[in-house]
Amino acid sequence: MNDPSIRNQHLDLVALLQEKERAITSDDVYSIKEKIKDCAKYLHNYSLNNDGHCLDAAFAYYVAGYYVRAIRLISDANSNEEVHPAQRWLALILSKKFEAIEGRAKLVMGDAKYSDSELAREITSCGLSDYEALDRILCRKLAEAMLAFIEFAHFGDESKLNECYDLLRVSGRLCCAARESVWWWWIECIRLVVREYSENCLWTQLSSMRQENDPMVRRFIIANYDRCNPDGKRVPVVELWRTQVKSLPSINDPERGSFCLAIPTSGGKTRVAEMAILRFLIDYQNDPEAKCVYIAPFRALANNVESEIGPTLSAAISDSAAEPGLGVVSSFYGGLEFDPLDLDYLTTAKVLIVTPEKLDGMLRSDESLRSQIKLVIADEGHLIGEGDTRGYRYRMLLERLAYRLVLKDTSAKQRKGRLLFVSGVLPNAGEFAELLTGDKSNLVQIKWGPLPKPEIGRWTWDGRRLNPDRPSLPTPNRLNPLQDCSSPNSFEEVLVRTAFAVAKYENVLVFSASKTAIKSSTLLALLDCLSAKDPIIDEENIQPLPTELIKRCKGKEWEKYCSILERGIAIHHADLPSDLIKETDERIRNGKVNLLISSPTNAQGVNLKIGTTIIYRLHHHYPTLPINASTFWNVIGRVGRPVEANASSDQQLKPPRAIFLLNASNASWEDDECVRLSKRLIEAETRYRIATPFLNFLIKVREQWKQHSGKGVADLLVALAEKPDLGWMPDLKTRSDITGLLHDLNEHLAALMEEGNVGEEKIDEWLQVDLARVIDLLTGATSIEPEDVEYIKQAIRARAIFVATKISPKQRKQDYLLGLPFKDCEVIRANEESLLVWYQGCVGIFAQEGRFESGVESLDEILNFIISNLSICENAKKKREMSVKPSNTGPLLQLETQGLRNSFFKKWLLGEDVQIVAEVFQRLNNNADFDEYREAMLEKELPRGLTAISRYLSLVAQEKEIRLTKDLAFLPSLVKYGVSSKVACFLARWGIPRGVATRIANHVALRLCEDEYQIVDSIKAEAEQAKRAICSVTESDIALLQLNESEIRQVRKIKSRFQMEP
Amino acid sequence: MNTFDSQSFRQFLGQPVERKYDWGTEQRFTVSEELLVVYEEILKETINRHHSSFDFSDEIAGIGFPLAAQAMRYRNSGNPADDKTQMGNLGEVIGAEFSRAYLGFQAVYTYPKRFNTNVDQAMKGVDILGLRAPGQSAQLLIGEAKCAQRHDERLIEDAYKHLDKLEREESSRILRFMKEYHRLSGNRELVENTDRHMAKSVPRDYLIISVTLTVPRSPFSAIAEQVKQSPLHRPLLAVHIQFETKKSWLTNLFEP
Repeated sequence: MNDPSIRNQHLDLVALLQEKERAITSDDVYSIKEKIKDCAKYLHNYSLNNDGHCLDAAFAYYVAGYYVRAIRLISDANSNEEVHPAQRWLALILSKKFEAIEGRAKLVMGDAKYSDSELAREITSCGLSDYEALDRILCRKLAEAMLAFIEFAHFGDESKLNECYDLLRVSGRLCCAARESVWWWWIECIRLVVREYSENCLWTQLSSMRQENDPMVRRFIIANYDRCNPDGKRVPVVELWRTQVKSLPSINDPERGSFCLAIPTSGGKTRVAEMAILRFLIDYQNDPEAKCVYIAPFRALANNVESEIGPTLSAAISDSAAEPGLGVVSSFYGGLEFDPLDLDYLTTAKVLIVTPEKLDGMLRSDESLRSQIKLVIADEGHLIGEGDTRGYRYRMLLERLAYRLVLKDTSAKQRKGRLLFVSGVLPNAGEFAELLTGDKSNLVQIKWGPLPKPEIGRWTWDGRRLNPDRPSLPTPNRLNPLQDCSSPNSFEEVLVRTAFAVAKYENVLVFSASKTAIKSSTLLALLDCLSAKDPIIDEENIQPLPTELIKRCKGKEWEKYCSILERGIAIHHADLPSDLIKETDERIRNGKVNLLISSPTNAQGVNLKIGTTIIYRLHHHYPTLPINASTFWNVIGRVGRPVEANASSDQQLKPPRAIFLLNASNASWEDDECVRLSKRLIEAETRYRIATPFLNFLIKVREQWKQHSGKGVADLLVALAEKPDLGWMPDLKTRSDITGLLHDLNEHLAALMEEGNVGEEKIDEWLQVDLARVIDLLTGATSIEPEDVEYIKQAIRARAIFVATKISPKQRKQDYLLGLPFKDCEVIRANEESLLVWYQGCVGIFAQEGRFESGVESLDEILNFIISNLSICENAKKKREMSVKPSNTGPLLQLETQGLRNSFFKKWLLGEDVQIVAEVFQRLNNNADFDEYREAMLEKELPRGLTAISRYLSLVAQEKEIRLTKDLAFLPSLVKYGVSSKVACFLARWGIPRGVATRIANHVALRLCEDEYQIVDSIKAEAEQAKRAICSVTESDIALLQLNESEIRQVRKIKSRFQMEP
Repeated sequence: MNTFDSQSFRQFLGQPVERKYDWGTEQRFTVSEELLVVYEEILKETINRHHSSFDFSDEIAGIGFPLAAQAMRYRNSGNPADDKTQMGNLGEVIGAEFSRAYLGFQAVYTYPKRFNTNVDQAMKGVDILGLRAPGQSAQLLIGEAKCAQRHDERLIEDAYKHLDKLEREESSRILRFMKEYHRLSGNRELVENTDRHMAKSVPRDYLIISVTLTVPRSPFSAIAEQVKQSPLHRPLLAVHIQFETKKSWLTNLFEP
């Protein structure tokens, strides 16, 4: 605005509001809204010491469609008791305190002093002034209007909305007649807010869906109105943001086409996904088998998504308040196995929240699931451009889903599935739309965000002080003194002093692309020392960690992580033990962490309530892999976003800051690289391109071929089509690296064929017709240079020919079921006979009596096989840098004799105390860390390997006409949870400690074996049996089982949950 | 509730029967009993409004507070209870509305009766004062209003004599109250308009309005005699209005 006076801002605002009322097209409305937003910004800057202007700004932000900004501004204005009564109503609406509105309105309605007769009496007898009488009359009318408004907001009754408008209109007319301009203005503001609300509320925006299934959509909207955060605080979601409104036409597209959604981080993508799921639920209301899959690549994100959409979608489907995890919205993450417990949840779930790895396992385990999936939502889609295994795997999974759901021809009668590809950082979104939907116009790309964008700058350390690169990002006045704490790395000291100085007044994220940098022991020691001497939180705010966690970390490197976490400082990276990650996540979510030092894994997955981000290191594996722009901008986009969009915030509307911390004092090459990279990242904000580098290995294959064979590319293509490996490559290391990627490509092509139901008889057709489509799919949005595209396509074609013609259908099927690295598949195939014998022997574990020991021995053989032979265990060991001894090369778990090994597994499976199991483990492994072993192997890789082998052996048994009991499918769960029975598996899954789960299962089994505890043959029945078991536990059982207090609490909690189920 | 505007007042009085005389023009209107009933509310509200600025009781009643509206209206009413004052004030109200609707003068934007310190006493000063709107040539209307059950020639004589006296009075003295009213209201435009009408050169029109319930044969015969004694320098318009009703009906109009 040119005119700086506040009065002119108000006049402009009024003019713009009138203009908005007259605007016809939505583009015009949005353009006017942006101007109103500018007014709001001006008023807000002016409002620092003026509640009235603050409310004006909040009002203007709201009618401009910036609801989050309005709500953030309102908290202060709302606190002043002296504000005009109409202002108070306005503030309550803007802050969505619907309960308070209702309560206050009812209070007014029930108060006699607002009644006509009482007013008349007081006017006549008590000398009530005209002004006071008018105030009361208008208060009363506004209360009536607000009740009508609430009724509409809650239940969507449009007659109530009209009633509200009528009441506001007549009240406004009275104000005009009485020349009450102040009242008039605020009532007009309320009218405009109600209008903005009614235009964008769920009732209006979802009206077309309501026409198709009113009860379901009503339940959904009402659940959103009643939405609470984990603390039980009401956080209603009642209107849609601009991004969400603009996405609705694509969601409701009559063809139900797939599309790519590219809106900025924190632009409301989850809500769009939620509405797409609602659309799916309506479309498939008569198809009980149809499922939606929501892929969340990070566990923390999956957690967030579950709590965001679980309750509302559960409510939409069921009248009863279906509990997430037990109902129609179920989460499948944590672990790579797919066991009968997952299968149990899968049968009831319509909406599955999964990690890519888990979905991959599910698809391989449950063939029927492939055809049941009708909607796939791929969140954080830009990750498929990452140049690491996680990125490649995510992309391959999406390619498989896109191929099956969208791109593959289906019969005319069959409706195609739908894929919604979601990302907040996808400048080349059109490419991805084309890649995954076949048409680049299938795109919703909006650059609107509800909050101010972060301000980005640099602080450079010159050896004496920090120098900002712009005045708007001042450095802290004074860096915190080191208080006799120190680090040999002086720049590390600068980082910590800076972070501490900022963290004293706002939450700080120190972001480092390098995990090594934040795992540094010197950094940890410095944080530990400084936080003890110069704490960033007050003594009374220190909250002790759970005793179990402290015990678990005692004497290990995690001990210091725990002590700083108690003092409001968290270090977060993927190598933390799971219970420490869980506690850290919980504390971040609850705002108990003031200084978070994080790697990209965590920073990308969750919403961070952070004011300042200090960007510390920019290389993943210094110096080879600089952070890519999408990861960087995704982290920046998350910073400062509201944890709850509709909750007020102490952060107000100050834009969050993202500051590169750079070193110019004795700068190393690394420091110089960071300076250069920081400039490139800032410049690349909207110009970078996300593209998968996976297929680039084929370029290297060509280079090697040219170099070593002396032949042309045509001969290479022949070799790729005929030869299983790259034996012609002389350098072993290069050959090994590239062969791994070639096998990944083989496996991917085989999976595409398997999931595309390409049987023996359809191979020719697939090669001639479908393969071209597959090749386009694989080569779209990649970093292949244009001149190489043709060669890459030919190379993929050659490899597809190899997979289709040189690998037998049986082997393709086996490899698909295994879903493991190629060499693991080969080892398993080679040991098929032994594995089958052991597998059959495992049945003893489930036998009623006498064969448990032999069953455990068989299971022990299989586990030992996995540990000794499969690369997944070797990789886990490397990743975790496990220090398991003895140090001679060989398997991770090198137990001395079979008997001792058997004893270890037996104790684990029998649910014996962890201390006892750990002692056995440590005795046999030179005091290696059992907790790490448990987490990486017992709870992850062993169940994963066992699941894969179970799938494989089931096929083998089928071919050999050997009947296997379904109980064997429980083996991965027995190992994962460390329990000895199916019932105990369920109990452990529901959160009962493994020892207690085993004791209860055994105790109840003995008592019920003669009546209720029967042999059952379906997962549902197994689950029911487990529920019966826990429900049958009496108080005397609890006493007999000698449970401690927390165990008793957990047992009672689970028991009461199932007792309440119908 | 509505008050009269120019159009509705012209519909209320209808077309006059006009006769020309040496001293000026006579206009005669008759309002039937039926029409009076039709316009009763609007007439009542107009009288109210001339006596009080409180003008939003309808909105209060309409919004669901009829009792409060009535209580406020009663408390804010400036209507006289005295018979004679009621009749006198009615004539003045009709005269002001007539001046606007038929003569185009701004005659109703000051409400002197709202400021009457004794509501049951007739106000001193000029009964009807009209100015031209800003932008029009300045012209002053000075009128006398009489309202009685029956026609009385003496009242017409009094009215003429008063006009005769006012003709010699300076406009600035006549308009002083009006200017003060506008100045207190902070209405600069009307203050300026009043100022320009205070100039000595501003031409004046004269008006006598007589409202009665009966029909006199020759309502203004007394004027001819008076003119002989002291003629006005500008033509006179004499208007007679007959309300075909009873006095009690008129009295009811003053109920707040």
